[in-house]
Amino acid sequence: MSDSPFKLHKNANEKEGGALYRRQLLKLASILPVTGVIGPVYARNSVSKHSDVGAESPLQDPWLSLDAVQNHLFPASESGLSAKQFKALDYLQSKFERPLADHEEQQFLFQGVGWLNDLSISDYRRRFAALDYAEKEALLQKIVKSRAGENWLSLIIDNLIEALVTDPVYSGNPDGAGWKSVGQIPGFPRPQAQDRYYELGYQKRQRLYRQNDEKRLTKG
Amino acid sequence: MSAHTPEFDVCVIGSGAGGGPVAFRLAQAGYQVLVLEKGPWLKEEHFFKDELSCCRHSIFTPDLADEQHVLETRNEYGNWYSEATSQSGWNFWNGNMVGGSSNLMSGFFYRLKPQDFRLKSEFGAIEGANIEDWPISYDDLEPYYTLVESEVGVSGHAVAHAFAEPRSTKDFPQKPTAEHPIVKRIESACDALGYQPLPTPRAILSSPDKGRRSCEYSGFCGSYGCASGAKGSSRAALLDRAVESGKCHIWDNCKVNRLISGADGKVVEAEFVNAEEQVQRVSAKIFVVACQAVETSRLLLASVGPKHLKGLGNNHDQVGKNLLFSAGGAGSGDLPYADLDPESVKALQTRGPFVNRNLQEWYVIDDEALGGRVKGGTIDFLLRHPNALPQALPQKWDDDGNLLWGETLQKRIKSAISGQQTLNFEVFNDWLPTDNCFVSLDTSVKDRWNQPVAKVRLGYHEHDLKIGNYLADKAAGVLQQMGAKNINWSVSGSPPANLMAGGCRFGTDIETSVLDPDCRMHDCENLYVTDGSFMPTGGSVTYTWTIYANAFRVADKIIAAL
Repeated sequence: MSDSPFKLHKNANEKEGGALYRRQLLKLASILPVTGVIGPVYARNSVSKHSDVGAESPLQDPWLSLDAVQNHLFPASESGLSAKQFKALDYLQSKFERPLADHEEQQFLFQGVGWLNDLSISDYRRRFAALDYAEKEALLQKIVKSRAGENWLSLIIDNLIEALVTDPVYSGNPDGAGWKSVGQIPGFPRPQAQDRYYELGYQKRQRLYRQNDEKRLTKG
Repeated sequence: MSAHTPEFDVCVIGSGAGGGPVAFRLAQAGYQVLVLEKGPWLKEEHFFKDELSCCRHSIFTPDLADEQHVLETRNEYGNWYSEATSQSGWNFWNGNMVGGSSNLMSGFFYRLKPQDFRLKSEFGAIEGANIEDWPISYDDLEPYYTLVESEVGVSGHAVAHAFAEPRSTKDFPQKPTAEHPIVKRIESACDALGYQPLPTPRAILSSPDKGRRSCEYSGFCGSYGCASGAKGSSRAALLDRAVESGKCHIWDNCKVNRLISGADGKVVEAEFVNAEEQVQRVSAKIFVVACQAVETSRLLLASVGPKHLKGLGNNHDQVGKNLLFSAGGAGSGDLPYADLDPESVKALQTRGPFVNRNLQEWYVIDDEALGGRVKGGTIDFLLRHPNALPQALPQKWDDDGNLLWGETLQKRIKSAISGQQTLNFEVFNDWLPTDNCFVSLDTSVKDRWNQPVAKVRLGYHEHDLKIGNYLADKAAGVLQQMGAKNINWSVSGSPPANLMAGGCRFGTDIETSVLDPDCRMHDCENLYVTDGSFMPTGGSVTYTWTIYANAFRVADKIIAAL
């Protein structure tokens, strides 16, 4: 695909800007062609929170590719935990299920999976998750040279870091393993399930406003 | 509702450090008080050390799509350029909830000094700055500073030094809070340089008092709500007790759109939007506005009436003018653990106790390099904020702006979070009032309820930077003496939104001030302003203790007027 946004070289002077720039990028992402992965809503089919340990159902895309990318970006090493070890995929999946979730961001991540696999298939005749380490690295080094690719990877890394060091109540950082691995000493008291940000203060009010706005719209 | 029989004696709009003392004192005196607070009523049981709710998806501030500001800054061509914060990503809210942003402060508490009340007569006029002496003196405010020590709860230890302000009591009612081992290193460095480090008073209880627990030293204080009640927020220290008296009623989630005044110019009612987004009104004998400087000016400007055609108290175009922030800047230096012995590392890794050290060596500077005797400021030392995300996220870029991942990134994150202890300093000096720092109403951007939002012009005086740089250089010298690495600092004219005052300065002349010396509006006899808006100049310290003290002072004036 000659017009894949992961193939367009970025202007060397471009860097991530403010909120407006990011919105423009997301808008761009929403109108560019994508193959392989289509549709805004995906079933969550990773390990269920209630399933027996080890009873892992095979992942499907986009999660399969995102999981592969996450674990390539954060491998198990002497310096840190792998994405799998700090439950980065669980964090990402639950993030998009939270009230007030940023579905534009989700859409961009999913579309990027499509672009990634398009490129993977054209270069290696296999999807990203099936590549070996060196092939994955080469492909990511290739897409990071495009503006869309750099932004897509940057967003994945932001979410990896969030999964690593935010409170376990948000599904990453199991039992504080992420904190321990980077030497972060958490504060106290820590939130429980009913105390997550979207249950409190202005975030809770935001949910109410959205309901009010929807009611107004349906009334015409 | 009839405007002829007011429902409340006093209606206080805003519940932070400016509103709390008034509600508390008036309720204590037996008056019926209503507090209207636009934010939610969050209490100790809602405050967790959760970085996502504090700082990434703030539960404490409105969504910018609903309520925002328009900020005006000078562009590279020297022209003023306006941008709404929902577009720029700059958030100008501090903390909107019962108790206001005093819930989120670090509680570095300083009194102003006698010279701060007479900046113009003490140091002279400065070209391009609208400096005026205060209409009251330090002696007028001193008893109220002392009252705040016991009522809000200030811990500290008074020591004699060159610029120590006079005290009517020997020492603080609360002993200092526990101190971090890094303090010894700061003191050694200051000793070597011949400086006198001073204990920083904190609005944090070191022992339980008046039903509040003492500090539990979680290490996460500034930007977070306090779960123990030790932090002297207006809510924990004053409003909880006011409500207990049965005389004070707090209506949270009620945002006042405007104050309605009658033909005689007096305020009759406050019009507000409640939690269900219905517009309602409430009447009172006396109204007190304390919404923090920018929003107080916005509310007054939006409240036009028969005698106030340009907004309440704005017949002389003074409302919103001479807005102040705190000038200065900040810096930091690292003490890498790789350079230290295991025992030192263990000590420096301590999480919880405070630094509580400041320098006021240069509160007044007499140096030819600055052209002789000038007003200086305060240097405050503190540990780097313990939040992980601001440390970890920037590590994804290398020095050339390339994205990193893999073990390189993992190493960098670990090193940034736990490879060293970082000591920060903050510099506070006067933000000189100028014609280029003021609040007005934006003509196009509206809030969720179709009210004009505040537009803030953010100009500064070059003199602010000169003093700020002088002090930051001294502070960096202390870090250098400590053997810190990666020392860097910046002083700029970019205003810290959490340190604002002015906009309704008090004085004796209606032509040049909005409020009289009692903080009552010159031309509206039943309206008072009790947040930091009253300050003609801000001094070279954080403002909260002064705002609390003045609000207690004005509460006495209101009681006398009732």
